[in-house]
Amino acid sequence: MGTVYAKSVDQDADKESVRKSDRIDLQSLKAQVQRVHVAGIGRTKEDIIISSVKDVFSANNFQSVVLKIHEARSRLEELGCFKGVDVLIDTYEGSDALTDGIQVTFEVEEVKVLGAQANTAVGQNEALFNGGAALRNILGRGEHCTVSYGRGTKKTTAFAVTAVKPIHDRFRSRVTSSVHQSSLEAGWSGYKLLERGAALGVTFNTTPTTSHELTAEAAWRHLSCLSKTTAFGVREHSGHTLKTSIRYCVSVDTRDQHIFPTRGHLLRAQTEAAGYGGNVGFSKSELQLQANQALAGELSFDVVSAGELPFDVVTQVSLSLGHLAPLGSKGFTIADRFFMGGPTTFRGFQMGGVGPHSDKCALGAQSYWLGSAHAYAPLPLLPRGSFVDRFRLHAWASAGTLADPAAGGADAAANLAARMSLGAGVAVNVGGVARVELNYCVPVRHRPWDKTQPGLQLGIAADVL
Amino acid sequence: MPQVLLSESISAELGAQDPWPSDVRLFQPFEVEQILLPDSAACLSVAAFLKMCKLDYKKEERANAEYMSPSGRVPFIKAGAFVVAELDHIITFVGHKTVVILYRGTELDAVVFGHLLSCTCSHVVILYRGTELDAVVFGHLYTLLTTPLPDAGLASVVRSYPSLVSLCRTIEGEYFKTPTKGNKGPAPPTGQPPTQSPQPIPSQTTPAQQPAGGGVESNGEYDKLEDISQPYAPTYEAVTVPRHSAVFPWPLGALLTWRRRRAVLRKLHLLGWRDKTLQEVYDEVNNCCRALAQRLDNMPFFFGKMGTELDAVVFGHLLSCTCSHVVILYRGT
Repeated sequence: MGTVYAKSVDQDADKESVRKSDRIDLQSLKAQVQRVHVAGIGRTKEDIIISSVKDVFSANNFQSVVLKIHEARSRLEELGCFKGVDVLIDTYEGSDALTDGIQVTFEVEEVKVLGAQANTAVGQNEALFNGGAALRNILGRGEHCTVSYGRGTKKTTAFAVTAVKPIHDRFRSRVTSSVHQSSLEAGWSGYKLLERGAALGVTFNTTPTTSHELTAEAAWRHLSCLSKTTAFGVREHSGHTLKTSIRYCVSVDTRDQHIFPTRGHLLRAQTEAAGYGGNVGFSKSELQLQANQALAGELSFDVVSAGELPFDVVTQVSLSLGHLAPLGSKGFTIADRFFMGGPTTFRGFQMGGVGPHSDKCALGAQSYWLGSAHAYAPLPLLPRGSFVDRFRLHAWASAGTLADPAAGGADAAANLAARMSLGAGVAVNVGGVARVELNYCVPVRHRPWDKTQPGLQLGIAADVL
Repeated sequence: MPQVLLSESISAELGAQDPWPSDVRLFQPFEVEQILLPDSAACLSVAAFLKMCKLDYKKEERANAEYMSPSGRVPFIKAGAFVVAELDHIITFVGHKTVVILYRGTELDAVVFGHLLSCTCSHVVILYRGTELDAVVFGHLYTLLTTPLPDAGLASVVRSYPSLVSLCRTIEGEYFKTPTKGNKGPAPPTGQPPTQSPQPIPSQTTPAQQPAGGGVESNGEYDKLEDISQPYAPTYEAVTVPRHSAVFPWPLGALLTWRRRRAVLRKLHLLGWRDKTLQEVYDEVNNCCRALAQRLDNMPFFFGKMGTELDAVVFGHLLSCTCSHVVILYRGT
């Protein structure tokens, strides 16, 4: 919050009570906001500022004034128009001033129209380095447009132009449109996918923790083989396809943080229907659940060097499910199918290592389930600090399978059997956006064609289940 | 040795250790709706060649055959674990198998070997080289003859050579009309403006010089032929566009057709064919047809039944080509 200057009001009774307790009871301090100034406005439009701050006028005591100002300040910051917002509260001394009248000044600094950005993102077990330019607050209501180019550590490249138009309603809706081109090398299946597409979407929040996303997308995909040894089952899918789809995603996230949550749960459901137009038709649904519970206290003991800090253990249970079904007669390609394995999904297996294979190429499948249980603990015997707190020891056990339930044959039936792995390792929180894990994995149950990775496995992921 | 990529050699070498598999599949685009003229010529050539060699295969039509092919060209065959694309590589692949079959046969029995050597071997090999050329010519000319194009000029040029037409009839009647193994001949070829299939032929008439060269040449010419008609607007609009975009949804079809046209025009430009008029193209075709007709003379096939006459040529061809072990065996006997 900005600096708050509160001049004492000439109300003896209040003064008395305040002095007696040596504490200021803000609730009993009458205050009426009579003027709000917003300084520093350039191209930002008035209407969105007024709707952000007008709530301040409804406050009738000093405590609610402070709270309302705080809320208004958050709203101003969320508009995406300002770099910084400072607040100044003063008594109002105009000709129509009330005895308890105050005025509030928001000092804002607008973002520059043109900006550059560089960041690191995380994809399927690879790091992506993005750079780009952004046009911010273009029309004065928080609209922005970004152009970005990214290159991954595993030959993934991505180019995107995105335009976002916030609608300043109570659902915090945003309309997003984008044009993108991306190239992905799926080495585990021996194919390369070049995708060019356009998408138009709406996101809105019905509660602070519940967000919805509805997207219509058209993508032109060119799938080609990585080498001559690519399995024929993969080769058959080569060529151009046009996918048009509608995707709906809802997520309820009450976790306290994304990387190492200590409490709360996550529910994310996504369904996609493709086939109206284009030559690909399928319906694809996925569900992810995660619950976290801290066991602080029960297992705590004093660590000598850390003094009184408890040994916090957090348990995490997660489950994910997915199913893909053909829609109409159009069929789908291997790029639409599910793959499983690798440190972001099923530790102890190589990327895409679980499920049907042909000539060492993963073929993917139409259904999967994967459940796992984790226990996280801070590094023992070390003094706690911001650096050490980025690390966690963890142990896990996972079970899951990836198969085509409808497929015939002995292999298909064998694929239905659950795989299992367990292990332990160290995980690091990198900048609050990703985590890097080094694990010792023991695949306990697997099929002969699965590609396992027993022993040490290094993983990097933005979102781990 | 001609320019055969190392990987090709290795795959052919490995492939040669097995006999011709029973589940060979020939992949090509849809004949009725999709295939373009040059692709049709190539597919027919391969089909004719395989049938002449009496090798069983099953034809499969796929909309994405062009993209499934390792070289990006149709047709391609899948024989066991091997995927071999385009006529010249298929011929090489088949050639290895043929030789090895002979080799094994002779190893088993000296008498058989002698017999093979004196009659079958030379005959088989001659047939093989001869049919390769026959197959290429048939594929291209038959396509020209049977495809309805906006301009009938190409077909009429070919029709003016009765011996070539009768060659096509003979091959069609002998190999494609009889339903062998349920394969019906590729009857309705179609599509894109091909050009002159004939160009490779002159060089091939001297097989001894060019063991694997035939394939390479046919490729180059294939390219040229292919798209002479791309610049020719009526054909492009009436045949190429609807066929090439037939299997893709709007607007992908138009986009991919445009991309292909651009690539083809670039290639034609490099080959110096970009600015030829239709009449010049017809003249080229005419020249090629004349050369072919002269070579064909009155024989049913380019190499006829005159196996003995060509023995020396074939031997030289074998020697320079790949089958050193056959030669050694020959000397041994």
